[in-house]
Amino acid sequence: MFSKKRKAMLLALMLALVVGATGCGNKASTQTSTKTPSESDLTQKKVKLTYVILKPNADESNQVSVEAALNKELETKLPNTEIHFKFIDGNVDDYNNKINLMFAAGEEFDLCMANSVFNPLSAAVAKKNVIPLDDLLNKYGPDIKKTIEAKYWPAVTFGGKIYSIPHPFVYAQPSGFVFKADLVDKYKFDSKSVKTVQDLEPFFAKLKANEPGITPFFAQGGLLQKLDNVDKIIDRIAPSISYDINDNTVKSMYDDKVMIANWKTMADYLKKGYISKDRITVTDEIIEIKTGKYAVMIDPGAYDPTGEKSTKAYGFKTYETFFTSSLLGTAKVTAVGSGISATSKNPERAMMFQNLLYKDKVFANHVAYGVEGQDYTVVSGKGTDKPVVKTSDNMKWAIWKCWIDPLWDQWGSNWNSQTALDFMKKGTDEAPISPILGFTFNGEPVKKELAQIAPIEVASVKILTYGMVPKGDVDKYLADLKGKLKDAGYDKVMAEVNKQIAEWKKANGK
Amino acid sequence: MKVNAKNKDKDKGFHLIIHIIFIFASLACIIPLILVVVISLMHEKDILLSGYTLIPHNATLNAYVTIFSNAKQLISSYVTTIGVTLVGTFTGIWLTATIGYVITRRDYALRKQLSFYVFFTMLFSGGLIPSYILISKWLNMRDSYFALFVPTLVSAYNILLMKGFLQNLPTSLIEAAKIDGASELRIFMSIIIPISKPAFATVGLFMAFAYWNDWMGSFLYIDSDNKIMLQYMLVKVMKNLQFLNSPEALSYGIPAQDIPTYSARMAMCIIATGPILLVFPFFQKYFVKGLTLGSVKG
Amino acid sequence: MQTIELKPKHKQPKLKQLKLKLKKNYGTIELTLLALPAIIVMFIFNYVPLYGIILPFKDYKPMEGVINSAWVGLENFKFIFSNDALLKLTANTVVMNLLFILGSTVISVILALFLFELSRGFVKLYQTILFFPYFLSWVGVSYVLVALLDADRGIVNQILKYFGSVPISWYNEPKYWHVILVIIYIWKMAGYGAVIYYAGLMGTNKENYEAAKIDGANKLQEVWYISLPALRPLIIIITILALGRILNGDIGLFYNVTLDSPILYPATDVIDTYVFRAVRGMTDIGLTSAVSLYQSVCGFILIMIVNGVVRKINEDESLF
Repeated sequence: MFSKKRKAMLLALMLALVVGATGCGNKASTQTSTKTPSESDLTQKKVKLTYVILKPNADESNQVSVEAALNKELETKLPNTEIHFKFIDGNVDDYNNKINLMFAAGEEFDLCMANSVFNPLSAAVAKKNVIPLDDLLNKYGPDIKKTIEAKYWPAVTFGGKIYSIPHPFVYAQPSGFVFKADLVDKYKFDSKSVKTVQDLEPFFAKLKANEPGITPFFAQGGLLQKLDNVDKIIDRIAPSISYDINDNTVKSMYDDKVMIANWKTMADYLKKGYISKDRITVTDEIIEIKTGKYAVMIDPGAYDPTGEKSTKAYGFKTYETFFTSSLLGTAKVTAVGSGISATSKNPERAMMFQNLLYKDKVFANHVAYGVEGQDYTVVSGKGTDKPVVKTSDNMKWAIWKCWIDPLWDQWGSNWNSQTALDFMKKGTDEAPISPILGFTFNGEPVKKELAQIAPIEVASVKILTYGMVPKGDVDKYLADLKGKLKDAGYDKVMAEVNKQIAEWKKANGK
Repeated sequence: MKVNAKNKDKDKGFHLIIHIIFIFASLACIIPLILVVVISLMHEKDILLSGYTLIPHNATLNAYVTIFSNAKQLISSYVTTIGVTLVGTFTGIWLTATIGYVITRRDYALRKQLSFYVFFTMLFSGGLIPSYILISKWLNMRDSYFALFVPTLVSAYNILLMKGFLQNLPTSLIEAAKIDGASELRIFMSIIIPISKPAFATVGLFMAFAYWNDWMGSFLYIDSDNKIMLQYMLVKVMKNLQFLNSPEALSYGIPAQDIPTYSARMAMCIIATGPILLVFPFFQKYFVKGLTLGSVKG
Repeated sequence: MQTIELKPKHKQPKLKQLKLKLKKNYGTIELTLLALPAIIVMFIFNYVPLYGIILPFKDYKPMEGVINSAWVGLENFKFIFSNDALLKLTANTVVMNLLFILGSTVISVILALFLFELSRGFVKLYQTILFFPYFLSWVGVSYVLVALLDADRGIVNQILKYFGSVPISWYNEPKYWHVILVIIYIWKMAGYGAVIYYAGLMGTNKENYEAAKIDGANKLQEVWYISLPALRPLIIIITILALGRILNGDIGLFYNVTLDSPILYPATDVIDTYVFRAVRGMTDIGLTSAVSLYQSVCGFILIMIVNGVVRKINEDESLF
């Protein structure tokens, strides 16, 4: 069939493949350091560190001047070290795609995000993209170890080794109902007594009858499920599977009686016009809420009893009512965290820098806020180590502290007042702890099933939450859904989860 | 005479129908574009509360002001994009045309092989990772202008399109030139190129477009802000704005930002794609003129 | 013309043999040299990365590189074949793409034929206008579509309300979307196709038309007997090329324009959007590269079949 010339071509093609293939083995930088050089030995070499994070702010044009100032500070605080932040544009998916390409090409960088959201940690560990940190922490990260409570380390431990630094942050975010204040006042609704979505009914009825321009409810899944007794194990992929701490079993959200009742309520609300039919197509929630068309919505990221945060975020006066706190489980604790890349040539220096961010709170705040005068001004407490600052209106520099170091050390500012920070810290410190904190599910054995379940879940959770089940028949929809999930291997995944949890418990003496 | 008159009337009627059809088609194409312009001039609040309209009640340049506030970035993106488009298109046309022309030559001994060589690349690709490793690591093109146009200079689709155009070239011209002792290069440059202007202009136009609108190259390979291309600047700003306005971002303690996004997006569309519209007439004069086949006769 | 002495081959000295061979193949060598730069560029950027084709068969770990990562055989392909959803989506993807190809080709050809009748000034005008939609990226198109179809704020519903009809929740009704997507696709691509086919018509021999007129042919006959046959090679090439991507759904269209509304999935979900949702939290390239290979192989088989058929009819017009 193939002429001689064609054969020659195929040969050339195969040669190409071989040439390409041989050239592409990635030699990872070997991490076998047998010697233990002292800190002063190590800081002899001039090192430029690269920290790869998602671009915090759309405008980071002051980067050059800020990094120059930071590097000047480092001359005394960590000699022979320079820091450069490599910002990756876009959103979570862009960060994950880009950093995986960077790993694939063996690009050199030192520190990067490594948590449940950005550069998913368990995958990064499985692929050996990030290195174990135990030795480095012991030698160069004393302040890090001091700051992070012992109970959190298991969450970032795989196979007995630590792979990420879980920066102290609002692990447990309480969420709450946010009410548009003027409407609450007008109808004298007792917003503080609301405990569930069903309690909102009388308010909605009044609004629907008397306020044509208002859509009562901006529906949101976070206002349906109480999170203080369920640990969502595979949150981003299969949000319906969770560990119930009341009876220590793994359950599916689709069997939860309370949730089923809630979904029926949502379908009912849709019918009655309390929820917009087009909720499902809203791509920018905050912008939509800012229009002031809605009376009840979810908090903009965390519940704040004063309503300060939501008022600022939404642009109108608000009242907030607490709905649920969340449980401190592995997924929550690893919501933020950094790791050291396997492509780093200076892991020791990288750890030293990371430690400096924990030790020297002034320096860390300079990293976050930028250069005084240029990027921020001191409002009060000048000269002290806990001033209150205000960032410039056209922010040209910002790094969200929680992405690189503890949030709690952040100076009070227009970002978060000190009161807000204290409140958030209290919430986290007092949050109930999941009995399986430290357990991370390894999805590899059921990779295919997860890939089949994910698209189904993503779609159905939305449909259920916004009450858009066909003909308003929640029971039928759930029956169909469970059938589809079963075909996709849901039971197999549940079984695997149970198995891994049992093994983990045994291994950890629980 | 009678026959001619009848034909003339028929023609006129026919022409009228054609024009009517085109006017409808044109409206279908223009109105959405007008919509884009109008929305870019609307107040954000108006859009959200009273809906989209074709005729804005209050016009504001707010969206444009926001975007132009970073004029330096906008200018360097424009310069980069124009440069990459020009260099990429001209180099690309030459490369595409040479190989496309060679495959159409029936007397070329390796015709089948070369065609398959080109065609095969359309169907199978190694994917993003090997390409990324190749361009960013092996060829060391990371953060260089080359990464923005070199990888896409030659594409099988364009080559085969070129082949389609050049397929019906008069071989008599070529043979005549060969008899006169002209080299293949000479033939290509003095005969083929002049009579293939429509083909070159068409493929060139599409290449220019592809370069102008490309954002992947900038996303994957460029680190310096002054080297990013226009379309990526748009995508970047929008993605950042969208993320910063999401509940996810706010949960990180990121302060809420106030930006006009619906109108800003439309404004970015105009700013990013507007200029290439101006290039269109320039190309048009080449492919509306037509081939000159007078030389073939006799 | 030079005369070459035709001595029997084996008697000629080696050097002369070589020179003879060179002369005979000189044309080939010259042409190859002409195309060489392009061949090299193609080799570097299209052939060298081809080793990635083995990625779906591996458990790729970046630190080990493509070659050293563990071999997993057909494991990743099970995702495609033991999965009802993906097979149904293949059908949806193929159907939508066929409608796109058919619709845009027919409309583009008709438009090109019409343009051919007009004077230069009008051609320039209409071509430019018809090209406008192609300028807009799919993201831009999605914004425009929202401006039109948004349930409360969209222009279409405002018009419906004005005339007393019930406004339609466009983004919640899958039944309209097969049609909506085809219309949008044609709207965006018709101008592009018209430019191509018009340029093709410009390359035809004007004498044929003059001869036909003299013979008394009317417009329709001109089109059927001259214009369309002249365009046939171009139409065939473009169609075959499009068929090669028949399993690929343009994410820009199916994800951005539909606002990724789950309610619309029965009509708008295609292989690429499904895979996008499936692997989102996972950063696993084994599954995505397996699906890519699946799409490529199916496209390839389809092209080979269609090309073979075309070749039987008229070898010149086949792709290769």
